[in-house]
Amino acid sequence: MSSMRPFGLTETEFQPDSRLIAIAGELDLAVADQLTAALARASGCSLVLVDLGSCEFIDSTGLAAFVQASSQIEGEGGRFAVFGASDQVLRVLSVTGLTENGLVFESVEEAFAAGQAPAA
Amino acid sequence: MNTGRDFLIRLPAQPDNIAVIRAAVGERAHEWGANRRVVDDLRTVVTEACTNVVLHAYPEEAQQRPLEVSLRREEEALQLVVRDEGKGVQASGGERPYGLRMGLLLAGAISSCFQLRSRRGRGTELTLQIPLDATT
Repeated sequence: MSSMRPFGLTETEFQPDSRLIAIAGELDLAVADQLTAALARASGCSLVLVDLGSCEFIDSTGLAAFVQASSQIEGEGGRFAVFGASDQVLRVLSVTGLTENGLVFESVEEAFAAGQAPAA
Repeated sequence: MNTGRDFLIRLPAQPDNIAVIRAAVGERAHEWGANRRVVDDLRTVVTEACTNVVLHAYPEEAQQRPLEVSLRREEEALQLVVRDEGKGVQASGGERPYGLRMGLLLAGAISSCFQLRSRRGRGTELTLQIPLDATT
């Protein structure tokens, strides 16, 4: 088994009024407040994308942060999406039904394109 | 109690220890020959069960917060038992926050057996099973 990668989070403004949050390592209760804080800092952005390509594990505390952020950002007229999930992360997103409601995409291109489309 | 078919770990119920338990349990399942999907599912359910203990088993002021996790390799499944010595499951008058509902949903959806035993003031024991024939 590979050794556990330390949790890390980076925030990038990839275009005006848009935010890309990249997560690395394992996301659970001990570090979920860091994600919540990053998502709060993105409040008011028209597009917020979360890159899960380096996220090795996620639990319900991480999912709750995504759901809350999606609700808040989209309630303010913005768009929120996650992309790049695989293995355990993708399975958890799927089992909980979050892959069925336009939140989860395979690639940054797909997530970005969906974020540019008018809200349904 | 760490043998070829049993594994036990005891730590204080604190957020930082959830990852320690997750790694230890996952490593042991891997050593026992469980495939990637089974190990991932096990890591998910043990995390949800331990998170529940950390958040709810003990009052905030509690000095002692024991959390015990045991894993056994059965013929067709891994059996996970998560125990605490806390206040027991309390009836909740209000709606649980989204994360708590999602945690129980996850653990129940992934495991083939989900059994909760709790006595007020005398702790809680959660038993889950992960089938060994899960496909990757």
